[in-house]
Amino acid sequence: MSLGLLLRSVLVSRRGAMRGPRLSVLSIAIMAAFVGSSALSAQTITGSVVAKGTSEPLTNVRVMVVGTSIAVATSADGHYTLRNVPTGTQSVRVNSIGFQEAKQTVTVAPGAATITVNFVLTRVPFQLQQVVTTATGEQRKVELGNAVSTINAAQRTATAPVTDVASLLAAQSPGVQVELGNTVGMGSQIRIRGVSSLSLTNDPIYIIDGVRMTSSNGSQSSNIFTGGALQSRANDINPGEIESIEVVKGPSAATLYGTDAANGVIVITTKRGHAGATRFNVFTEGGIIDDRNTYPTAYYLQGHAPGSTVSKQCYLTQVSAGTCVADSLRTFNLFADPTTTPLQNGYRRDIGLQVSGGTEAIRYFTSAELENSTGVLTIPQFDRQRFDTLHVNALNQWLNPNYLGKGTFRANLNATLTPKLDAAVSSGFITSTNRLPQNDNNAYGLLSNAFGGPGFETSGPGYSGISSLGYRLHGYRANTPGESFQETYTQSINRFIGSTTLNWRPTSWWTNRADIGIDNTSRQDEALCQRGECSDVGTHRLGYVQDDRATLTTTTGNLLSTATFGLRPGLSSKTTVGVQWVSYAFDQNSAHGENLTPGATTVTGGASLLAGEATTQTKTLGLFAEEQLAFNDRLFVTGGLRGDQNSAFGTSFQRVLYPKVSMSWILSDESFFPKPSWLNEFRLRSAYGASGVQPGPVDALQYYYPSTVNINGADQPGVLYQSIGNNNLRPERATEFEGGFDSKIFNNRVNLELTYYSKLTKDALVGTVIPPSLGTGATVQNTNLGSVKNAGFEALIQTQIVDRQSFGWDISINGSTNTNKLVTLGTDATGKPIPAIVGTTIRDTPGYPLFGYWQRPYTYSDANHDGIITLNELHVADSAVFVGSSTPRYEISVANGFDLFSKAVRVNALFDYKGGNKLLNGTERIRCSSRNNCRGASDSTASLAQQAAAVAVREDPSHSYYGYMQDASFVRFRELSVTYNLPHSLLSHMSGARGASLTFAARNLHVWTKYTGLDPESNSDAGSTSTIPSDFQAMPPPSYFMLRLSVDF
Amino acid sequence: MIRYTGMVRRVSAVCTIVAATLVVGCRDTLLGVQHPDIITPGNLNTAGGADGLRVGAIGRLAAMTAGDESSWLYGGLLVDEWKSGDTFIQRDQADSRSIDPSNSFVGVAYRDINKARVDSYLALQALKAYEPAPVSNLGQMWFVKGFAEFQAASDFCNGVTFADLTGAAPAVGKSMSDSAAFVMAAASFDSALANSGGDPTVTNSAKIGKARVLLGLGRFQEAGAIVAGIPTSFAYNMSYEAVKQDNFIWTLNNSARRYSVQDSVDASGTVPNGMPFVSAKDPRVPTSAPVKVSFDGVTPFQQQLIWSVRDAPVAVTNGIDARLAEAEASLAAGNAPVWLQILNTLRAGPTPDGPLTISGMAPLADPGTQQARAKLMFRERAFWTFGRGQRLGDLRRMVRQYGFTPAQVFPGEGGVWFKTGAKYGKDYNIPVSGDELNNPNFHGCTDRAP
Repeated sequence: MSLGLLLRSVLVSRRGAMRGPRLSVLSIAIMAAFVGSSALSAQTITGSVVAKGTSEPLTNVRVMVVGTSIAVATSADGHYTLRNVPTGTQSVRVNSIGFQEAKQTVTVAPGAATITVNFVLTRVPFQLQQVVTTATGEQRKVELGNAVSTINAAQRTATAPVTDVASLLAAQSPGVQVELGNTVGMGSQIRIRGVSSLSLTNDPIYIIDGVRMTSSNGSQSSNIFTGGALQSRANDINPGEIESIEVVKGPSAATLYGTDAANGVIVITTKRGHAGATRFNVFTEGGIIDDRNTYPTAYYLQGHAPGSTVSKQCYLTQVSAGTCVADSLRTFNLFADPTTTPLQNGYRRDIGLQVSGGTEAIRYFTSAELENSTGVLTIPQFDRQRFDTLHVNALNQWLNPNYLGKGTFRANLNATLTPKLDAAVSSGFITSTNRLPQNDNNAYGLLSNAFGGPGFETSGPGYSGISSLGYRLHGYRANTPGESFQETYTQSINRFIGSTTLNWRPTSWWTNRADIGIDNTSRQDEALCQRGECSDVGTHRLGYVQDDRATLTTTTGNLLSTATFGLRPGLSSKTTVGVQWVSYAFDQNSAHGENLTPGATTVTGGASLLAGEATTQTKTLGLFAEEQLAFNDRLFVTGGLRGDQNSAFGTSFQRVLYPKVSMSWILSDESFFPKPSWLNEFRLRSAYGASGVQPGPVDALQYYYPSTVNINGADQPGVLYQSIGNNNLRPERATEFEGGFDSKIFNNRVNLELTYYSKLTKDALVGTVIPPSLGTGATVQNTNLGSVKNAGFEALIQTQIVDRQSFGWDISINGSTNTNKLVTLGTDATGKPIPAIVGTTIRDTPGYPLFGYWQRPYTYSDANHDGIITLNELHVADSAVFVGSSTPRYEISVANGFDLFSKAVRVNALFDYKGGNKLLNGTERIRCSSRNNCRGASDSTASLAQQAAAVAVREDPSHSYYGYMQDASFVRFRELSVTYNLPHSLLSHMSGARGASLTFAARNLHVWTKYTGLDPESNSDAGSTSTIPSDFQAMPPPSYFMLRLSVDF
Repeated sequence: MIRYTGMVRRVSAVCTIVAATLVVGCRDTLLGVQHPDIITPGNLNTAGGADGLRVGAIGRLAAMTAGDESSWLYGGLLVDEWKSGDTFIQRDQADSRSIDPSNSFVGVAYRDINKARVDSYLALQALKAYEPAPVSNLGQMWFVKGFAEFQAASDFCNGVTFADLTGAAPAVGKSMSDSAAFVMAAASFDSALANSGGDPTVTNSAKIGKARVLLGLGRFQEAGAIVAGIPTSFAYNMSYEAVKQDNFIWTLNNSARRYSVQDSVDASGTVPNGMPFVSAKDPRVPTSAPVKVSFDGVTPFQQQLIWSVRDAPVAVTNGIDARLAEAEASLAAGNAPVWLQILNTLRAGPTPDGPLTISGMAPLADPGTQQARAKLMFRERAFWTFGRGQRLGDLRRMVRQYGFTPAQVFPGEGGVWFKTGAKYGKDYNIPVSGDELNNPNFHGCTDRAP
């Protein structure tokens, strides 16, 4: 009996329920089928795919038999072979990026010879028929009811200043806001369609080659401290290994990804090999990282009290009041002085090799790449001289406190084991070392001291110019960069991400997929300050070392089964059922040694030791089903449902269901639809769906913490009351509707996409502040109370303005809006509305955006016309008002591409705009309020607005920050690249080279903004899960200038 | 069509069965997780669990006194014990006496007190159920509870709230005046005495605590009477341990230099009402200036040398507190000679005062008037109790009980704060943390009166 018949006998059995023995038979059938068999009454179709006009063979073109699960990609020579094609009339469809979709109908007769079907594809500027990866497998984009952005990572990495996954995504997709880290190795912030959660993460989740990937850095012990900068595990991934990225934007599309997908899903597909000769790609990249920002000047108004000759610092308000007589205004900008500046040119170097090829049976892709980058900070000249004087060898890690060294290796294998069974194995290994500087919100970090110094380099009234250790500060506040950077923080990563996917197609209508994968990161964080080094703060100079060893493991298992049928002519059905299991585990041991032996660099050398342990586990189990009906291959209706159970839910809440329904209709294919000559395609789409975000792993539990208490000199084990728990805890649930259209017009020269979305998050977890009187260790209790709404438009316009051989010009414009509103915070047990969550600068108030800036506003008037604003000329309102949103509400990016010299040269220029938001200029605020060196408090030529802001924060009892909450809108010249494709005449000198290109790429060339801080994208918390930006002594973005040479053999 | 529909049905059935088998059969494996970092309530229903809670409550007491930035330290910053040598605006607000209730450091201090109170109550319940002997452990927990209530009444505004501990679990309570909080604390100290089991530490500490409550209520004679017989050498110390739980007075002052010992003069000149903790060179508050500037790089630095090491123990109650209560009782009774004798006996010594032993100080002379005697009384208290969370309560009592105006006792009143040149604020106590607004019974301080 053939395996197919064996399986069939099992499937068609109707006698009795499928209990134990029957299941065994089924198991045997399934296992046996993996060994391989040939289908009954099936034939082979083969052929080639070439480009019209040039007859260039097209590689990696997707060829499929419509209405079945049979699909392959063309090999390097453009050939394909479809096996086990059912008999009868079949349609073969071909999709490729950059070409018009093509379809041919063939009749497959029983016992016929192999059928040959060749395709000649017409190149078009843009096309809708891309294939995207969804939760249920690859699918044509036109069949989806929701917008999915696709980024051609391979192309962007080769021609743009891309250094990590975040820079790959920046300004590429409408509705996807990316804020890059401004320090080498620092993580980035990605928000899709606004922020929805008050208490949980607003980060999207990541899927790589079918399995979940961890993007969070995981927790660190409190002794690991830099002042803000944190790494992101998403940026571990080498963009050079990525073929494409799809951004699934909201619950309407992410339903089947389940709990945690409400903030969107970033689906990464790594490169695969194609059948054909072995291909080599060697590349090298080098360049500089240049800080071209203008740093603030420190001001000092020197004067004296009336009747006194003793010099002192005066402030403008004292001058106005006559209590201080100004003598001179002193200024100093230590960033502009070559002996005191802590800035240098950083560099980036990258070298890699990619090899791919194979046969139809086995295809491979391997890659190895080494990168190292050094940031822009260093020890200034005067500090190096001090070290020399002290005979201290300035170590490389002090001179270059910001560094990233990374090696990435990948081996991907695709195997056609039998005509019915494919296997794909993906394995990536990453090893990296990242050093982050002491900086940002860090009193002994660089910028706190650089921004906090007086307006002079030497001594002056109230400032000796001598540190607590007795050496000259040269204009820094309390310690110099040399001290700051002697305290090193290094994170080392060894990470393996591997997955195996089996695709089994026992029949032409039935396909099954199994994915299993693991993402395992071994993370070591070490903070070190050797004895006698570092800033003179607390016990630092006694020396300490903190050593954290953590393991982050995400395991994924997916099982999917899809049946595809033609129900009747013009109506086909695709049914998918599946189960997904995701487990996340974080396990950390930490050791701390303090009061180190001289020369010691390990915990063992500490006189006082501490040890700690932290564990986090969550698991999600989801079952899902999806049904898609296709009417005449132009109307697609999809419905689905996912049910999840999660270990973090409260005991009173067991499972959650997420439904979805969507529709896609290619109206322009309908006979009734008017089709003017300028309209090539028009598609309507809409989708509705739900998804969620899981609570924290122990948020639901009432619990205590262990604690050691010293009583009369002896340690005793104690227990502390910590959390009151919440048995009713459940996930945040987001539902979303989106609708829009895609259209191609003017002979396919213009591609338009417009989408409206409206997302409502219910059961938003509100971190209700626990009244201190209840005595809990935890300060907040997460409760499902709130409701948050996000709505907006997304638009994409792509057009080929000029398309000639000698010259081409294309423009891509994408833009989005986002209106965010906290609908309600819910009610307490008595039905009383929960009051707004109030922070010093940020509030969550119903009716207003989440994380909005609030502050007491003021008015001012120079009543006595002396040019100085004083406290009595300032009127501060009694209560705080909403000042503005802390996240951008509008975003537009414009990418221009030019093809020159018969396409030998390609120039790309990317500008982007973000606006509609405010940013607290925390650096200027602290310079005014407590560093006493801002212009507004000292310089009579400062604008009245600057003076009023200083008076409000310094002298008014409200200490209002209103004047520092500034318009953060900007236009940035984000990227420029010029790629020169070397002509064949030059290639002939390179033995065996098939192609080569030289690319100059630059990032962050200029910014236009009214924001008076360093940069509207200065954010020391970009790498954290926090959504609230922090421009508090934060580094601004540097500029990158890079040269890349790539040669294909 | 019929054939396909049948196939769909069969395939669906198979898949459903496979999936259901996986899910049902392996549910615990697929969803079970471990949380080894935490202790669940069920783990504590033993004698060992009860004792763990007791030990934890003592840890909370250590935190709310000198083991965290408690109201001992933050209240000392508000008055004239400490000045801010820091870059944090939260500390600058306290030093300039202009504290915003949303100031996060207020939350720390207020939470520390209430953690000690609630944890001691939870320990009491567990001890009664699982480890009732020795009874002095119960008395110890009553003392912790009473001391938390007392410290809140001393340092925070009228309108303080405490958890309602009459039900199965702590619940939000109502606002009360500081005097009502003193009464609540007195009842807790009475329970401590009733459950002392003859343990001298519990007994003496409860008596001293009760005496300080009575002083807060103006019942001076009762305060003096209850502490009679407590040896001057008595001390109930909170002990600390390097790295694991540092003495925070040492941490914030000697180590981090974020707090500096305040003096009657600063960069702006004389600090109105400032106590000369540095310039007096009093042996009870030894100071030094190992470096010129504090953490902010600007403020002149002075460190205290009472607790000059990281793990120095600090007395929550001691015999000096008892003698000072007796002296104040004598002063209130109009018995100036006895009042002066008690103070001078302490000064003559040898008087153990934490790690110091004070002796040979010149005797004080009677200043002659009742107001001057009161001023001297509180000056003596300021030096004897420096850094132990008593100065803020004392300044408030000087206004409430001795007829001084705030302008006569609160530091900086009318002057300018040395860092910004702006005028001092008008805070006479610490506001209850804005976090407490999440208690529906709390609507802010009822008043900020001393």
